[in-house]
Amino acid sequence: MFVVARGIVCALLIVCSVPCRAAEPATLRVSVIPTSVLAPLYAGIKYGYFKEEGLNIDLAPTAGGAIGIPGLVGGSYDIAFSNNVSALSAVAQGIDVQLLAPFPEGAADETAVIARKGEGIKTGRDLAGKTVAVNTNRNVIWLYVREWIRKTGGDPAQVTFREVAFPQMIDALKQKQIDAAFQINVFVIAAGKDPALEIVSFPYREVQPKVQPSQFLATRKFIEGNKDKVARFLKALKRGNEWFDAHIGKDELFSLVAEFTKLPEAVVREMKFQPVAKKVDADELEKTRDLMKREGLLKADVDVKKMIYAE
Amino acid sequence: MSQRSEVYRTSLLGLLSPAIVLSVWESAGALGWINPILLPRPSQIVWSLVELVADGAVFPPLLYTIALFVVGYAIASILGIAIGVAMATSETLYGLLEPLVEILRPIPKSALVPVLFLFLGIGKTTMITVVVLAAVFPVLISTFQGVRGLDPVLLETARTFQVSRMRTIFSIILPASLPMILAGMRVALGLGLVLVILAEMLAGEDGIGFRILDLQRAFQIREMFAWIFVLVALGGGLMMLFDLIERTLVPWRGKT
Amino acid sequence: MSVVGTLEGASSKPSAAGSIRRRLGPRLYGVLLIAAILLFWEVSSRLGWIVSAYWPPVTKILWAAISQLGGGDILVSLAATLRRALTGYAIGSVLGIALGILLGKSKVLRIALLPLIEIVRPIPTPAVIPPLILFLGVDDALKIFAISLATFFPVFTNTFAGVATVDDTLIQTARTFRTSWARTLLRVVLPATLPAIAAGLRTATSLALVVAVVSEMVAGSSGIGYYLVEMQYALRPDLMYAAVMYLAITGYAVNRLFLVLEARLIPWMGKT
Repeated sequence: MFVVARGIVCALLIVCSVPCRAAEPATLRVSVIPTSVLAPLYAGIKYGYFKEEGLNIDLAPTAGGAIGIPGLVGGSYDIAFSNNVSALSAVAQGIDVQLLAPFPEGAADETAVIARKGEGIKTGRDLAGKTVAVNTNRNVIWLYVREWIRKTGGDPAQVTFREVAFPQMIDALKQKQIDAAFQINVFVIAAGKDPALEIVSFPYREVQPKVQPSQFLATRKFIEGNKDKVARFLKALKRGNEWFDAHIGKDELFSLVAEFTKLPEAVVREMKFQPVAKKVDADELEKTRDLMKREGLLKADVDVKKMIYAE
Repeated sequence: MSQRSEVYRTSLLGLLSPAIVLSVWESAGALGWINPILLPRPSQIVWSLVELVADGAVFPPLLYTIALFVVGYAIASILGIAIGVAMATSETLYGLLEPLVEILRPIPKSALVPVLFLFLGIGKTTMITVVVLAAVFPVLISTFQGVRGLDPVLLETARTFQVSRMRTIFSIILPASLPMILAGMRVALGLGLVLVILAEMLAGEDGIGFRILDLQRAFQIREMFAWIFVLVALGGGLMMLFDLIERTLVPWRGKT
Repeated sequence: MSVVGTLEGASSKPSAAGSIRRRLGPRLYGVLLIAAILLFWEVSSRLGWIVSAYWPPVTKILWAAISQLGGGDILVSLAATLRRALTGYAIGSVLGIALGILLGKSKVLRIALLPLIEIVRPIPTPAVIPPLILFLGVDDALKIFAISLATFFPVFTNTFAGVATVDDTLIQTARTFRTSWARTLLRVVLPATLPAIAAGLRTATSLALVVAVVSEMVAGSSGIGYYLVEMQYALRPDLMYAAVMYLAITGYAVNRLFLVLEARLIPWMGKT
């Protein structure tokens, strides 16, 4: 049946892709998640850095979904924002993607395990027999919370992991459907203010402080066919990074982030912003790969150095 | 549907076209015309399926999905029939419930999934509620129409013979409107399945919907297709079961 | 097979304009019930009976909904969703009607295609979205394909069943008068099948909207399905509920429109 589907699909693709793809040669379709981490990209767009490189960035936001790489494969995106675990899994399964550029090194300070106050959850050991929420099973958050549990004296095998979307974690905690959650910045701030909740730990700090959880990536095929465009993209992104680094703590950055995340500016002002990492760090990626192997997420070995795009 | 049975009368003919499609797919894969990472060959998928069944890994998610669906569908059917009959036979209840039903009914139920997760939490209750909401309205409305469309003489006669209200409902109204009720339940079956899979995808706990999404995210495409095959079997099985029940309960249907 | 119809046909006596009670007739209590539910919602949120960032008071939702009227994201998203739903619906319906009639009339096609269609039919649409992303990407091609697929089956099934019930004497008569094949199809088969087709089309309208929203939630960057998820991340539940409200109104309007068209175009509907 998928052959039939494929036939129709191909027909549809031909109908659609010819006019929408070839029209503007200097357009890059980039898949993003509206998270504060992407501020350098948005800065580059807002201040015309991409335009000066002759690039038109067509943003395709998705909310927390892990469809960046599938979308690359399906040909919807030229470049996708995705995380290191997805990238490694893809490569291990024979999908040839390359990491182009990393993001602010803020993950360690922004992502936290939260729990109900007064229940004595302080370390991984306290989580035995409890339920912990992660946004996506067998992905980056899951991987690192398991390692954090191990490092702080617990055993992940004794913990139940449940997939809960980030926005639903706080309510699930309060309704006692889960006992702890590994949560991202906005909601960590919300939890910090909630009298019923507390911040337990920042697992990345304890597991791998320099971790680079997210990157821009593209397929090798695309990169090879568009070397020039990719180079210009990275050049403009670099200027975006510089702007970002220069504006940490300043009003321009807060209003930029509030604008593209659609968050209230008061919330954005409480976020922490860290400088941008200069390049994709192979050593850090190897640490992630080794963790994945230990958890059985990688069946084939992956040569990390070959995954990183070299200009 | 006599035309259907004609195709399947000689089972060989019915198998012909699926067999052709499968062999074209298989050979296209073997010849390297399609990317094996994105679309594995049927034989590879079947092999994954065999592994799933052999080590028993297929059963927990399958049972999970079936349980969620069956509970939700049963509640929806009972509620739909009960409310449909109540609204069709009592002016007061009609007045009380009609505006609420008219407000809730047109909402595409998929839009309610994230909302319900927020207010009912992330548990099975929410997923069952989603199935109930999706399935209840088609049943309710066709029951209502079925009962309203009954021959008034039938009800008059019951009244003349002073048959009690409950008895009228159970021995006259329900049997007479059964074909319409079943027609509604058929639509509800499809909608309920759509929503149970969606709810599993978004709730991320277990079930076939969750497996499919989870495997796609891990790029284990072959296993993902194996689960889709499982789902085809489940959906097909449920539809056949429904046909069978309908034919048993309303044997005169389809002979018009 | 008219299934997804209305709740009308109730003895709603036309009453002269008078008191609210008379105008609403028996529905008065129903309206009061809704008012009571909404009041409870409002109070539970204002007084903090339910403490959640995602439980805004009704008045706040209404306010958010009204403020969108001046041109907000919701209407833009809704338009994107409707455009996709409509395109997919049109493709799915045309294919459903065409194949329904062809398979109903031709034994060869029936043998060739019916088993394939019946194998694919029971797959719930959300399940095919993850694999389709790999082939179609995440844009309109994917969403429109998914919507067409969902729309196709009820339309096809009803058309196919409808064609089977067309009185053979009608066709025989046409043949006696040496009416051409195409003319017979257009003048005899199609009108006789229309009520069945219409029933399928009506079931398909709600499915088209459901699947449009689903595909945008799973793989979206625009449309109301995506908007719902986006607003959760942006901590704006008032806008999320407002979007659901607009969606409900749309669903209601589509259903009404359908009934009006049906009454106009197929006056013989329901008289068979």
